[in-house]
Amino acid sequence: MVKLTKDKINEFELTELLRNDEAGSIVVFLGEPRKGSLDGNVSSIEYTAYEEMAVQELKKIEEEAKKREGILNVIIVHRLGDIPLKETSLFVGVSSRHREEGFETAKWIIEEVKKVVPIWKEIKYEGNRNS
Amino acid sequence: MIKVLFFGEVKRILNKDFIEFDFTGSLSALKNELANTFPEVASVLNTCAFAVNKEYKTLNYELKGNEEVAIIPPVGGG
Repeated sequence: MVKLTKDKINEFELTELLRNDEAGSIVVFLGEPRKGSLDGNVSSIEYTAYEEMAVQELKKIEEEAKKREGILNVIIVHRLGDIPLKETSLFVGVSSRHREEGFETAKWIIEEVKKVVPIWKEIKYEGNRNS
Repeated sequence: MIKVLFFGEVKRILNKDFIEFDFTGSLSALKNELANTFPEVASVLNTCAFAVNKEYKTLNYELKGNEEVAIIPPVGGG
């Protein structure tokens, strides 16, 4: 399953969807805005997307990931809009027979999302100074 | 008529979501035309990828004149 959403991501619900009788491993990655040490005090990150193409690219990543040996299910959800610190911007979940392929595939998915999916971020700072 | 969509930094600089105009030729030629028309984004265009009808294409791709072209600045999801 892949999705773009403006709503807060329910990590627990998504993780439950990954459960599978054959899965010995569920790997979940949560990306979230961080305060930043060099750039000053980040208050939030606003994400925008070329939504139709982004969903298409996410589906391609999901399909490729599911072809990998031992992978049972994949969920990729990216939140759009203004996301404050300590809230999830990216959820990547992989259920697999064994942990090794789960970790490897989750890492691969995250790198692909960051490389090809047309989503952009604008960093917002405390005091209204934008990036 | 092609529709050219702007995102990220390009959209912020131009303050436009898209433009439509008659064009046939390569993406490379389109890039040059955009750089001439909007010199304020000429340097940013060099860092951008291009998508035609929602698929990434290389600069030698030939446009027939009825496509939706997206200018894709370096992406930053995650």
